[in-house]
This record gives sequence, structure tokens and C-alpha cells, in this order.
Amino acid sequence: MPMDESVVLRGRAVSKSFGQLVVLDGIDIAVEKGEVVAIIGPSGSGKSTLLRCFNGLETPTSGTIEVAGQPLSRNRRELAKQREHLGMVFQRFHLFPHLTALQNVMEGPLTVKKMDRRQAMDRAYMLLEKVGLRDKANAYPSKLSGGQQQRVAIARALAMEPAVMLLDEPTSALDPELVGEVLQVIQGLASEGMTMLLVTHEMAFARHVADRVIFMADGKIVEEGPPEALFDRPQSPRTQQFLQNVARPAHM
Amino acid sequence: MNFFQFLSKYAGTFAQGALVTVELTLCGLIIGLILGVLVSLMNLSHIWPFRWFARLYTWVVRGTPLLVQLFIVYYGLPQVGLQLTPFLSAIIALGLNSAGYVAEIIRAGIQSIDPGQMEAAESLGMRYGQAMRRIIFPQAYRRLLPPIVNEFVALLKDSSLVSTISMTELMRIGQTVSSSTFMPMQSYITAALFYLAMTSIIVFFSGKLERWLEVRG
Repeated sequence: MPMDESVVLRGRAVSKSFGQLVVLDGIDIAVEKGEVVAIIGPSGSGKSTLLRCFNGLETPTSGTIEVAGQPLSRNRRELAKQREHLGMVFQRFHLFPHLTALQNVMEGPLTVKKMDRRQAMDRAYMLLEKVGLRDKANAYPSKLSGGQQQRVAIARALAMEPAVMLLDEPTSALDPELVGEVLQVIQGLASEGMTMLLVTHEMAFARHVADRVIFMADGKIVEEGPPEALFDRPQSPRTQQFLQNVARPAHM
Repeated sequence: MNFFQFLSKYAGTFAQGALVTVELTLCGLIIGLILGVLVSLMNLSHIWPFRWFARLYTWVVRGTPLLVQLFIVYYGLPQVGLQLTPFLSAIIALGLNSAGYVAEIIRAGIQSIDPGQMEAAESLGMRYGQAMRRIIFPQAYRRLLPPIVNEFVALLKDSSLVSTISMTELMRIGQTVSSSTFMPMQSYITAALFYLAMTSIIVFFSGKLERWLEVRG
């Protein structure tokens, strides 16, 4: 395969098993610079595991992961360096509870980039402004709503100026009325041209924000394509069934 | 001689013994904390010989009596050419012993922190040590304080065992006064009161410290 400068994330034949359980089964995936790719699929389809493979939180059993053309290192120090280019947003936020919103956002630049304190603070304020939480700068995470915590978490990831954002079900742990504010921030990033790989259950949002949608089931990519094609004219029966269930939940 | 006369005559002697007990306990605790942190880090290490050593260490130290450990250091080591003073033997035995307990306290405290915290720190590009120092320890140390204080109190009481290797600390003073006055009841109750006063002071100040840490958020 030729070296492709525009590919930011690439997985080749990525497989992952936990004991007997096969979670990922030969995934081939590439995300280009500026592209927003949404991964959808039923629970347990391996989509979160795939996302976590891209920043080394999971190690594939076989296959290769490349970030900006470089295979993800097994050396912890080099891996740490590579992770600076990958902004990670978790389903359960994982803000640092002993630090304020502002300190959470400053932590990466201060500790990892050794940025000057003044500069890190200015940038953190700017990023909190961007996610609409400048007035919460001095609040501890326990005093913030889920939606606010997730927006701080996004600002924290952006503070490292990542080349790509990995978002692992960023709205799944939120009360329904708080989902909108987080999606709005992600939408804003997309329109600025941020490269993103997003695992989500928000079908309407995936259709709206993504350039490409990947449907995964049982550790495999079943189907992928532009959102209109995948949502309106799904080719595989597995995709059709999933989209039907999502539109009209089976238990109703 | 009633108890108050006894006290006014011997309180000074007991206070000197108590001072030695404080010295022994503090030295033991400092050694225990330093070694305990090292052993707990080994226990959490990715390098298996470290992990193996840490588990062996806590297993042996917590599975054998302090008195036996003390005798091995004081009576056993001279046989292999290492003659230590009673004070040095005492703080080494107390330190090595409390390190085993401190290591388990710290390990449990660190493992009680949500693994998502380490993932979030590493995702920012922090190395393991940075994540430990900046994210994990600051959250763990508040949870560590109460059990560490318990260990401090236990160590102070256990230090009475070193009276058996001719260390003139509080317990030993009690024995000496008892045999010279033939007043064992008064002697040992006085020793007990001194121990109780010292442990109460520790508990009182740790309570203050705990509340102060909570206020700081």
C-alpha cells in the first residue's frame, strides 16, 4: 500500500480477543485528515474497543495500528509521545476530581508539554470559552452537570492540540436534556475541520455530522459509506435490522 | 505510698521512657513509610520480579510475629557478624514490619482510584510516573490517612515489645520500677496511662488534619 500522507488513523487487519471472546475480527479502517467518521452498531459490537486500540488503551491481538503513518509504539515512553496527538473523550468523562475545570484543562499542557503556566492558563480559559464554560473555570467537577463535565473533558483533550479526536460514546452517560449541549460542541469542532473518530448511539447526529458512517457488528465492519447512503439505503440485512430496531425499539 | 505519691515520684522516669518510645515509633514509622511506598510501587509494577518480591515481602512480614522478627534482627544477625545496638535493631525491626502493612495500605488506596483516571492521564500523553504523581497520588492520599494513622497507633503500642531486647523505653521503665518498688499495679497502670495519652494525641491531631484536608476540597 502506498504511503498516504492524508491518512491520520489506519488500522490493518486489527483483531482483538479476550480469552475465547473475539471482540474485533480483522478490521481495516482509515480516517483521513479533516474527515469525521462515525462508528455505529449494537452494544458489544467492538466499536469502543476499536477506538481504544487507536490510543493504546487496548493492544490488538494481531494487526497494526498507525497514527500519522507511524505504527503505535510498544515502548511506553514513545507511546506517551504519540498519544499527545490523539485527543480522547470518554463516555464517563474521567475528569480529575481534585482539580478545577480550569486546572483540568491546564494539566496536559503543564505536565506533558511543559508549557509556561501563564500561557497554559490563557489557553485553558480560551478553550473553556469555546465550550461555553468560562464562568465555571473555578468549579470542581463534582459541582458540574454531566453535560458540563463532558464539555470540560473535550476542552481538556483539545488543550493538547491533537491531530485527531477520538470520542467514545460521548453522550451515552448523559441525561437526555444534556445531550444537545455536548453534540453542539462536537458539531462546532467538525465545522472547524477537526479530524474525528466518533463512536455513538445518536443516529441523527451521526447522519448530520459525519462524512462517513461505519456500521459494526460482532467485531466486523458490516457496511460503510456516506451517511445518506448508509441510513437511507442500507445494503446489508444486518444493517437494515439494526437501523429498524433503533428507529422502533424492539421492546415497544 | 498512694498512687499520687507514686506518680509524683516516678512520673519523670516514665516520661523519659515515653520519650524513647516516641523516638522508636517515629524512626520506625519513617522507615516504614519510605520502604512501604517502595514496596507498594513494586507491587503495582509492570516488572514481574518487583511484583514477586513485594508480595513475598508482605507475605512474610505480615505472616510472622513482630517479636520473632525483632529477635532475628537482635539475636540472629550477630551470628552472621552483624552486631547492632538495641536501638538500631529496634527501629530496623519496627520499620521493616510496618513497611509490610504500609505497603498494603498504599496499594489498596491506589487501587481504589477509578482506573479511568489513569486512562485519562495517559491519554493526555502523561507517562506512568507523571500520572501517578499528578493524578493518582493526590486523590489517594486522603483515603490513606485514616489507615496510616491506625498503623501509627499500632506501631506505638507494638514498640513495647522492644523492652525484651533491653531497650529502656516506656514498658521497660514500667518493669524496672515495678521490680524495685514491688508495686506492679501502679507501675503498669502508669505505663498504660502514658501509652493512652500518646495514642490519644495522635488520634486527636489526625482528626484535625483529616478535617483540614476535607475543607481544602
